[in-house]
Amino acid sequence: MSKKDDFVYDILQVMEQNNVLLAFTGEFDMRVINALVNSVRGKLSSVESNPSVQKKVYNVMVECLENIFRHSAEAKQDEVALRSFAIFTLQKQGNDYFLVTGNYIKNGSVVQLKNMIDKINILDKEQKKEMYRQILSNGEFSEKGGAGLGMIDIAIKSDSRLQYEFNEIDQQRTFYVFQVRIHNNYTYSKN
Amino acid sequence: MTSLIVEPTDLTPGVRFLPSTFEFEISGESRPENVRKFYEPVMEWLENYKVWLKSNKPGSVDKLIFKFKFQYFNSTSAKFLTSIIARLDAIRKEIMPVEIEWYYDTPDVDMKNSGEEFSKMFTLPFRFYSVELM
Repeated sequence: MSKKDDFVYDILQVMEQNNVLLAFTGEFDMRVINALVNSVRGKLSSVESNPSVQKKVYNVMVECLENIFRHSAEAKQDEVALRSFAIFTLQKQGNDYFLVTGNYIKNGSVVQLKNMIDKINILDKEQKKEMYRQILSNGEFSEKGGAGLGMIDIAIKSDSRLQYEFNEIDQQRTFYVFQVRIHNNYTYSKN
Repeated sequence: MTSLIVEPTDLTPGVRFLPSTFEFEISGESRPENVRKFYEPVMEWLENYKVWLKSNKPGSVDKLIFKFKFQYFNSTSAKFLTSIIARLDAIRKEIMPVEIEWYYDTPDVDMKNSGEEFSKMFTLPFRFYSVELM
């Protein structure tokens, strides 16, 4: 193996060290999302014995992937040449699951996105549900944006603080990293 | 009144609205590529059904029961489900009693919660059913 090919092994090691169950980089279209969604079902049933947690990871993951898809659909339409290349990883650390997405957004979109997540993060459980119901019941709706519905849905289901990082790449583009944690503390009851 | 039957796919739910036998059910997975395109005919059917019911009030049943049996629906679908439930609530207000039966896989706490959120938004009654592997 030539020296420049070594990075593949490095990536694999980093993934193993971080208990990455699933990782994908590239363009996120519906086919990719479906492939990831289908493969995670099998994966979860082998690493997670609690069916409530399996289901929850699945529910949050689909919404995270659709968020990337919305961003990349916007990137394609935009005059700013954003790359629709993105990354998704699913990790298990201890008993908890971490879902991380990374994608390019316009610098101009940062403030709105940051404000929305900050606003959600200060809400308690009941307030989040109230906001969810409010977005659902107000008439206006954009299919692409979802008016924060996807984000509040993730916040409610994960019941944890949403983490983000905005890395400005140049005068036009920012690399946006989003992380959500799913605590493995659900007890499976038949009632 | 004609039935509305839509076969389920990996991405879209199955719909069985059968007015002749008063069976109404929507079930499966909902993350369509084009959510509006999928749900618009369903909402239109319900509008037409409401109009039809006005002049054809059923004598054989005293209420309509709509069964929701979802495995998963994305947040965009939730928006359209809200519109569907709003139409059912309109039938209840204007024509006859309507109830929703909300089924969920026993371990799926999120699906149960989603149903509870919908039930808080409307006055029509919801009944919840926990099912082992639908």
